[in-house]
Amino acid sequence: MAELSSQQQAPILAIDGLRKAFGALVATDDVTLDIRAGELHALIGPNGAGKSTLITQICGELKPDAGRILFDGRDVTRLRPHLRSRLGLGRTFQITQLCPDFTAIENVLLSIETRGGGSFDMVSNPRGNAGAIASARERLAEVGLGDLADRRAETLAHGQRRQLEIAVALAREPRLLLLDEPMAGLGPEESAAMTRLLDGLKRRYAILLVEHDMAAVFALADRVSVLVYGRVIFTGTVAEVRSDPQVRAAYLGGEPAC
Amino acid sequence: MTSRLRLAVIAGGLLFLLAAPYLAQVTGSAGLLGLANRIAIYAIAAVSLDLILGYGALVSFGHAMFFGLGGYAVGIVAFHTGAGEPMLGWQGSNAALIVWPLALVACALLAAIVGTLSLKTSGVQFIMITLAFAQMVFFVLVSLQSYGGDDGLLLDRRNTLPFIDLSRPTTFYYVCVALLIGWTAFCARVVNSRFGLVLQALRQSERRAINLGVDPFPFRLTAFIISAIGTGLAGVLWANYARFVSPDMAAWSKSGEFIAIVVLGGLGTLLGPIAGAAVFIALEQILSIWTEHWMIVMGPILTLVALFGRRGIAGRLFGERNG
Repeated sequence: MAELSSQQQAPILAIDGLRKAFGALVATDDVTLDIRAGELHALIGPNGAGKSTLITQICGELKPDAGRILFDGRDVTRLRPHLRSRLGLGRTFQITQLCPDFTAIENVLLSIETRGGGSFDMVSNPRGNAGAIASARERLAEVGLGDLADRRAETLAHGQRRQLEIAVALAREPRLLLLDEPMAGLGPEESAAMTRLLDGLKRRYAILLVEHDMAAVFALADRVSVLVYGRVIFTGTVAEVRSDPQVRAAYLGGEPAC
Repeated sequence: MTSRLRLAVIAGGLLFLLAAPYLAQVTGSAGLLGLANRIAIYAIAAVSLDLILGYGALVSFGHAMFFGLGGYAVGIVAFHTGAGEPMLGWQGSNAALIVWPLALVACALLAAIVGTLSLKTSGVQFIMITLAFAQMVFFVLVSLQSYGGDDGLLLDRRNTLPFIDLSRPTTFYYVCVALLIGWTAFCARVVNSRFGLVLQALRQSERRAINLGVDPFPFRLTAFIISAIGTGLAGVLWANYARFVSPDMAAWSKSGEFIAIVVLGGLGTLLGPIAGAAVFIALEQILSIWTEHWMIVMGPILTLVALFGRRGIAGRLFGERNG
């Protein structure tokens, strides 16, 4: 039911004919992709397929050579990254990007504070803003870090930092979540916990999930796109991807899923 | 435990600052008051530099230009006022409430220009560009022959304040201490504010901040200007303290001294640089009695602090984090 209505809506993110080359290497080759409201769309592909290059173009850190990126119907292809973020693009990084000297809750507060780009208010202390604190605590509890609010990010375990990144991304109430390999470096138990966490976020947010962990992808995704040598060779449901001979040859069969 | 120690050290330092004139009187050494006064003035510059160096990771190697400009603004106005030569039709003034804000506005304008151009870069380039601008200011001051050129400019008397007699050394000293306390409190407020949260985030992970919607430039420029105003204030006070300004105030070695004081005291601690100023100025005084090559001793001390005291004096006393 929810799926049916979401299919009729215009996509939150539409990528159209995107291309990026570094010299002779075409990292993004005519990529066309869309993410619908409430959908969890997974992007898989072997190492070097151009997944990270694609993500950095969606966020605006890298400018494409050709093609368009539409966010919520608006052409953002030339928009600078901080302005895209303000439109409601929340992301996590393949290599965790947090403020190591800030506590967990300060990291989440920062995300709340910067929804509109940050304030030049030099008087009030955001740590004294009861509403923001309450909402930050809620986010931390949501990702399972409720007890570690006052721990400095630097002192958190790797898996906890991954969870904190998600809390930071959620705190902006994003319209689209870009999750760049949230399972990377996690043990089996942590991976399972992260999968449960993402499952809880499904439907509430449109999510683009870049992930190597096939078990997680097959458990979570509504649709899967397969990227090989910069090209999207297939987009379809989990069942379709699993049975597609081209995908099996290029990816699933050819290389052990890691 | 550490918070108690912290309070004790702050209280002790404050007590020393407030009691310095009394101590000077009791011990009969007038030099002690001058020493304390120099510490208070340098501490204002050090706290200001720490705002961008410690909290913004912007290594300005040209902050002496604001120290020099603040001083010269006072010196030049005093020169014209004393000689009865109007500048640009203005008769001049000796009132601190007019001259000092004027000097600070000049520093803010210079900082806006230098910041706009240099904050397009980062890292080593930023260091070199701020150094280059400071050198320009230095050579401009040297070339001002009518204001003494190389030799600098003597001031006949200090600026005046209503009800407060700045010509009395003790009174002037307490004005400096009050400004130091007020300025440090302001900077602490800024650091812990919503603005400060973003500024500190930019230091820790610029990429994270940008992807949260932050445009780094206006935040860094604002911090740079605030820092320049504070350093300019120190220059204003120095001109009044010494009743003498010279291009040396804007020399690159002065910028280096400021950085050394902040590192010695503890980056990103605000109170640390005050302690850094005290230790640096006192050591300079003591060592230069012994030898004119006092840097031979100061150098290794700074090296050791940089190597082993991750957060300088403040880090040793208060633990890793402060602020």
